[in-house]
Amino acid sequence: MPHRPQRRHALASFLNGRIAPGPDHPGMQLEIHPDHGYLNLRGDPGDEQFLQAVQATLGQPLPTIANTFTASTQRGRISNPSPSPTSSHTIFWLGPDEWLLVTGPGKENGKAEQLGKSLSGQCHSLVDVTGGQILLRLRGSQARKVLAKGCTLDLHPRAFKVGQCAQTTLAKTSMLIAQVDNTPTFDIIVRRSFAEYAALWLHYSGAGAM
Amino acid sequence: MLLIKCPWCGPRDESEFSYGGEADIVRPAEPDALTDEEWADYLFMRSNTRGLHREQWVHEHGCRRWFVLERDTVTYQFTENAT
Ligand SMILES: [Zn+2]
Repeated sequence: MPHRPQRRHALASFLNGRIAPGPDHPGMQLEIHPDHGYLNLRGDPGDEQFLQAVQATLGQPLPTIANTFTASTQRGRISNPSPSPTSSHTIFWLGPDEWLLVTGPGKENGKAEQLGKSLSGQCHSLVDVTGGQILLRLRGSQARKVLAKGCTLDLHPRAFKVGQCAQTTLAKTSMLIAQVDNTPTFDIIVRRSFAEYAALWLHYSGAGAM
Repeated sequence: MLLIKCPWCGPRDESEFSYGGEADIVRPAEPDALTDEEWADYLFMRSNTRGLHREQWVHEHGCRRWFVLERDTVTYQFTENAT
C-alpha cells in the first residue's frame, strides 16, 4: 500500500482524549470534524453561464440569497464526517459574489479540478482553503443558549432558522455559524488557528449553561 | 453600541464592522499634476461634519463588503434608505 501522509489538525489534543470532546450532556454536545475540504469560489451571480456551470458540476445551485446555504443531500445537513466515496458537499453564501464549498474529507482536489474545468474561460476565482478551517458541530437543546452567550447575532428561532448561515464573531473569534437542523444543530466553521480557543470556549461555556 | 445595517446581511452589531472614514472622496485622476497642497488636501483633510455625514463602513467579520451610510454625528442615528 502506498504511504499516505496523515493530516494532523489543530484540535489533536481534543481527539487524543487529553481534553474530553464534551461536555457530553443531553443539553449540548460538541463534535469536532477536522477533515472536510474547503473551496472558496468567487464569480458573478448575475452571469447565467457561471451559475449553470457550477450547478451542472456540483448538482446543486449556488445559494444567491444572502446568509443561506444549500446542501447536496438532505437540506441543511453537511456530509457525514466519515470518509465515504459518496461524500456530499454544502455551499455557503459568504458575500454577493463569494461562496464557500465544503466537501467530504479528501474530496476538495477532485471538486476543484471539476469546477476549474467547467469554469475555464469564465471570469471566476477558485481557491483551495482546506488548510485554514475546521468544522465544529454543536448540538442539543441548550446549543442556542450557549452560542448566544458569546455572539451578538440574533439567534432567536424567528430570526435564525434551518438553512441560514452567518459570518459573525463568537467570543471575539470570526466564524461562520449555520443552523443545519431543528435539534438544534449548528455547524461552526472557524479558522484553524482559532479552533482550539473556540472549541475550549464552547466546552466551558456549555458546561456552565447546564 | 451601534446597530449597523449591512446592505447584504441586514442589521448587525457594531463589533462586526470597521469604520472607513468620510465617503465620496475621489482619488485625483492625475496625482502628478497636483500641487503639494492639493495632494495633502486629498490625503489628509476631512470635513469633520457636525450633523449628517456620509461615511464608509466595511462588514469585516461578516460578508467583508464596503458600503456607504449616512449618520448624524450628533445623535449617532443612521439615516434609513439614504442613497
Ligand atoms: Zn454584510
